[in-house]
Amino acid sequence: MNKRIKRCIRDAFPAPAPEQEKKLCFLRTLPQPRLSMRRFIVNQAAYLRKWVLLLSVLLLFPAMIGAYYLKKDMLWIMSALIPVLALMAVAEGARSEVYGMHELELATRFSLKSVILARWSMMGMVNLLVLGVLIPLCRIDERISLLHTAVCLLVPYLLTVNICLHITRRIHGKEAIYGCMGAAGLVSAANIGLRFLAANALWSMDTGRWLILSVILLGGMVYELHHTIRQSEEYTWSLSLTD
Amino acid sequence: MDIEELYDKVYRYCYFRLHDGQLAQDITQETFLRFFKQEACLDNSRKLPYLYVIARNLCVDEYRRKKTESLALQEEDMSCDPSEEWTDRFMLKAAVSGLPDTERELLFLRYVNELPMASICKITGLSRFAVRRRLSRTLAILREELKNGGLSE
Repeated sequence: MNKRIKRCIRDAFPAPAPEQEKKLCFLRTLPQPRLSMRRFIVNQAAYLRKWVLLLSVLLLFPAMIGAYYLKKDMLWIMSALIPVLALMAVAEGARSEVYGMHELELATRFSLKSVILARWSMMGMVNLLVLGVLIPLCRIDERISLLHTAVCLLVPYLLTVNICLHITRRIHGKEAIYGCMGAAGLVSAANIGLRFLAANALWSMDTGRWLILSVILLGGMVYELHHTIRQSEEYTWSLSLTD
Repeated sequence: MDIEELYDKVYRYCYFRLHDGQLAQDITQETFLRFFKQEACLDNSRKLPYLYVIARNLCVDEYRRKKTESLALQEEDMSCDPSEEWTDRFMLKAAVSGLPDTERELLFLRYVNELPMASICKITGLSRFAVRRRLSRTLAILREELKNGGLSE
């Protein structure tokens, strides 16, 4: 449309300017509602990349197919694929770091710490859901308990999360993601290697030992998470650097 | 959108409906107070139409209460700018004042407050097709008025 007509239409609706003092006084005292924790997490979920969530869920398909055809090798394959799930979760949380927006996000309305926590919580819940479906599917033998199957899948997952969190804490920028990919690849390769070196290692090891290993790795994950979150607060301006 | 900018736009909308600066400002403030009391203010997709719907309803209430007559076309000082554009503006203002209320509201929301189509549909309760059709018809009328007046488009 002609710019001139647009301008004329605008002028056809004249309005006196609002009283500035009254307006500013009102806006200053306007009570704006606070965001509840639930709504904040739901809002942050919208920022998670959809393909990451989709890929996490897609991991279920080889499990479903494998559960019918592969039977015995099922657990091996899934425990070799699980590090990918962990890698995606960690990479999603460390996006601001990877794209160099880390320092900028420290000055936004919501602190980087709460944003990271919300996103990791969401990814953690999705992963938990995927693992919840995978565990009964990967139970290859009636003699092997569900708990044993669960820890067999949890150990590579937690191991990858631990290494990836450590890497993202130590290395900054895109290199961190390459490091995480390498770590996830190593854990996967270790799983496959173990399959050929000691075929019965996964189910012959005592459940108690697997459980202890899982608990240790879980503790390690909490430690890494705690330090990652604390590190996101460290970049405060040091007044001692100025006059 | 900045809250101050939003305030100005809602105020302008209230003024368009009430033709009273003081009243428009009071209604604008009441609109914001009611808006922030609701959960909808946190939902970005519903934010803008919801704010306008509150303002619209408050204006209708006020209008019913006072039963005010719509303001007659304001005459402008002829001496301020005797340019071609000024004449266009004058002609257009006369043409706009002769339009039905709904068409004027649509014109205001679309070209003065520059709202997206989806928001206009939610505010007025009209379908996207109806809004588009009415707007294009209104614009055609305005263009015709300008042409008949022998003025530039």
